[in-house]
Amino acid sequence: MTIEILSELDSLAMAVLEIEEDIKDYMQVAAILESLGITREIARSYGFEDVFSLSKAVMELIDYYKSRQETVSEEKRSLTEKLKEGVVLFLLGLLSGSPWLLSTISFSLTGVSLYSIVNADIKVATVIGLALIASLLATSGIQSVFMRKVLFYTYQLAYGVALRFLTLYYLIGTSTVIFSGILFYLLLSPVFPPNLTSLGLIYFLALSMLWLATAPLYALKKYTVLFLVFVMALFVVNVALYESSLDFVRAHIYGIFFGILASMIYLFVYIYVRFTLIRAVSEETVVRLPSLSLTLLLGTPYFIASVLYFLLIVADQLVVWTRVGSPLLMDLNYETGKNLALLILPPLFGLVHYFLIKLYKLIEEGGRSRIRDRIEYCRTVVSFYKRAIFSVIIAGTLILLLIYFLSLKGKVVWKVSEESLLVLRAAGIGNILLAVVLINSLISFYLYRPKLMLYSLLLGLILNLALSFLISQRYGIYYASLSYLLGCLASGVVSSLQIIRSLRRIDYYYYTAF
Amino acid sequence: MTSEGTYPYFRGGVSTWTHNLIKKLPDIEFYIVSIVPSPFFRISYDLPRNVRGLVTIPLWGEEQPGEHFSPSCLSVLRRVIRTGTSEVEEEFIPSFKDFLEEVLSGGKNPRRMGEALTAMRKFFEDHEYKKTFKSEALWKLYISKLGEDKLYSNMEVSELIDLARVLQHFLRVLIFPFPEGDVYHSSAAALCGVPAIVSKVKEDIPYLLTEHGLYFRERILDTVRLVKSLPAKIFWLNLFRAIVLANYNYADKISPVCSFNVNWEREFGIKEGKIEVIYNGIDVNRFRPLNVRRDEDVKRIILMARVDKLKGIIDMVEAFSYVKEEVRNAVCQVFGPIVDKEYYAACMRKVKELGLEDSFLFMGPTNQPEVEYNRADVVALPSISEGFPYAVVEAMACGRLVVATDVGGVREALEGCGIVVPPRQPRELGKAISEALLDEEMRKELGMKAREKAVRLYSEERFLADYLRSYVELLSEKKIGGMSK
Repeated sequence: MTIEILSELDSLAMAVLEIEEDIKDYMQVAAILESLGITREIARSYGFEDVFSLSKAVMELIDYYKSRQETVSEEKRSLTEKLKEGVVLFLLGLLSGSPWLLSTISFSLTGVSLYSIVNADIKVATVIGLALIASLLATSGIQSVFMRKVLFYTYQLAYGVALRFLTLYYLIGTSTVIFSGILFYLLLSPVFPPNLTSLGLIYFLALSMLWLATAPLYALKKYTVLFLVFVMALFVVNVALYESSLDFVRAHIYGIFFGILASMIYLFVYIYVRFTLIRAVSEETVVRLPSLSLTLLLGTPYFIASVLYFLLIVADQLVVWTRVGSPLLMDLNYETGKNLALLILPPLFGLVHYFLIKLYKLIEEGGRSRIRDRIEYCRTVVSFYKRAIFSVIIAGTLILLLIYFLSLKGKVVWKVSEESLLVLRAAGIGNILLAVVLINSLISFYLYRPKLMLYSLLLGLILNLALSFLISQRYGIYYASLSYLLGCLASGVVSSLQIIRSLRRIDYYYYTAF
Repeated sequence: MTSEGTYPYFRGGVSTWTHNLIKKLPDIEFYIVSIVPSPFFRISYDLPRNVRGLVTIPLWGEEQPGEHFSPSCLSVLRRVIRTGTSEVEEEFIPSFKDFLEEVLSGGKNPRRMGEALTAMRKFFEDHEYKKTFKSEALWKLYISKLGEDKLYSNMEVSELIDLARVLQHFLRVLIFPFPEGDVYHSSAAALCGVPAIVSKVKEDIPYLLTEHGLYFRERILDTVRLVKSLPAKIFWLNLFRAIVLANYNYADKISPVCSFNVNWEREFGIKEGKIEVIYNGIDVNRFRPLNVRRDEDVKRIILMARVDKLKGIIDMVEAFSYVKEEVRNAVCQVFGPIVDKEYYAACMRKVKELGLEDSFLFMGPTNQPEVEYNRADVVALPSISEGFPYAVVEAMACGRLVVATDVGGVREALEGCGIVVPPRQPRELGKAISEALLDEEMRKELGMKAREKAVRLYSEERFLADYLRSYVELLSEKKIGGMSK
């Protein structure tokens, strides 16, 4: 072989390496050489029989160059960038809790929220409260069944299918709401006077439709839109009540209706625009829905988990209502305590969002460890998870102390009695643990393992129901809040253990998240 | 007829080939098995009457495999119940282990691969797919097999997870119904050959394999672009090599569309007797010199190609800028759909940068390619990878001079009747086109030769006769084999 040919081979090896650094065999070299225009004739002019023989010779040179690979150090992010990212994630999480946060703020400032009004008749408040709980239960399951599909197709840019699914969700959701509404009416009518039953039905239908309409905003992580929708809805309620002097029922209905309309319009426009754009560049896209029965079957565990979650939150309240009056009557002190305790959740949602996004990133990208080091990778994930839980509990405790202190000093708008403070203490701790349950639920959904949560939620619910029944009978209704605490504690501990067990083998669990 | 990413959902050379073959052999009944990326594609062809059925296999886009096509909730439930840990460990894991070992070794024993695929398919007749692939035993097998290998153990966990998930998607091909045919014909030595391999192992159904582009070669070029780490790259290449080798091994006959492909097939150790080149055929009565209205004031270059990286359109933009220096009244028109939007944007930027907005034009697809060829002075093809492109043969049949890059079977087609230049060398391409545009005599002479060669070698009649003969031969060989048994 002449010096000239050797030099040519050297150039070829460099050219191949320029295109592909990781060359393993001569067939790779052959494919790249051919794409560079090296033909059998050219190979022959170098004295080789064909491109493959030439490739084998080039491969020998490449083996030499392969040892010269440079490692590129990862770019380090500055503290400001990290802080900025943290704040944004926290705020987004905070916005995701905006329905509760805004309702509470509005109630504190103006005496009216989307579904309550200060100084309302206690029977009216009970019926509305029942409607609120029933609406959450009636819609939470169906939301999780359909929203995971809307999300699945949106991520795949199959916007046409997502749009069709959204329509189907609204249709089936509305049918479910109507059916549940009839059931709700039939259950209420024997025990409440007709005017209250009708009022309950109106609130049930309106609130159910609001939860249905806004659920996709959660699923698609459109938290800012969610926030704006609730701000505007509350604005409408306040204007209708105080400026237009409408009665509070109408004011509520107008506000809720506005929220429903705004969410639905936004979602249809959002997905439709994307669908149109995709169709414009890809003529092949066709809308084809999967089997509905399979969709329902796959969504059943998510359905059950969501319903259990909401039942866990309200079980003690329902038991207390049965104790106060026949058949059901709200206790204002208990409700005040529980509502004040709800204020802990929005900032915790911010933290939960921050930690979850970081955890998902760690799971997805942190898998940079080699196969042989995977145990270390799992340990890192578990330790991050523990840190997240610890931070949420500490932050929750500090927020609870703050709210408790302000309530004690009479710095909140509501009148806070001793009884309410008792409920606030127990339900507050319960809500901190509920945030832990929420983290665990979201991780289990992320891993496509909703079943991980079913036992712990069921255990928490049974404990809450049974204990609130027993405790309220023996020590009085206000101690029922302790059963909520214990229910959340049991659910939080058991689900955390389940999640830790899964994260210890996160390589396997993440692989099966399909 | 099995295909992957082509007929009847996507337009292109392989789809044209499939459509023509099926349509022009009306006495043969065809079932189509089409592997597609997702279930959201529209059929792009009117299926000929002799198509008796279409099985669509989406590899992605489904949460539950098959949920868009065989929606039976009860059957899924039944399968889930039947799929216990012990069934997976005893009945599935051994064949999956064979499959995985074959993949890791790059297909050292293609027979073992074929048997493993067949056994896995049999398992999925009664068991649930997702539950099987979610089994912990399967994951442990992955970890142990890759972990014990010196090279693969350097793979990142995230890569391993990705690979395991992609394998799970690829093997979805095993759960869809395979039609009962007398002959299986695959249009690539790819995943779409799996139904043919399984049918061959199970029932000795004859298998005819046609290779347009070279699947393995194309995957090598893909991994260059898409896969970052060395162990993952090697895993991918070995996977594709194993699939290709299984196809080559089980195919009774391999019909590449050009001799260029034979070099690669030979390199894989395929016996010569198994290979017969069957060139793509076109309707030489439709594609012929026509009297069409032409603007004599301009010199027209046309490209009949989809806007895609592999077609080298950016090189053509640059080449055209050199042409414009020599031939001021030249225009260049690209006929074909935009399949890569980003690439199209890059092409447009280049057009703008070189000030060619008025003369380098993207025309979109055309229904009358024969008219456009006849309007052209030169037909160009600047591709960086090709099999045996229809655009070249059609332009030849229209008596046009073709200037193309020397990739795939292009040189074979244009030998003695066209001009080939090295790929990715816009200056060379521009120079050749300018010379052709300025030399009318040469254009006429080479155009006539091209037409004569196209009629002689690339006619539809010959193409159909060759495939019909192949089907009959395979069937009769099977019958003789069966009788002798």
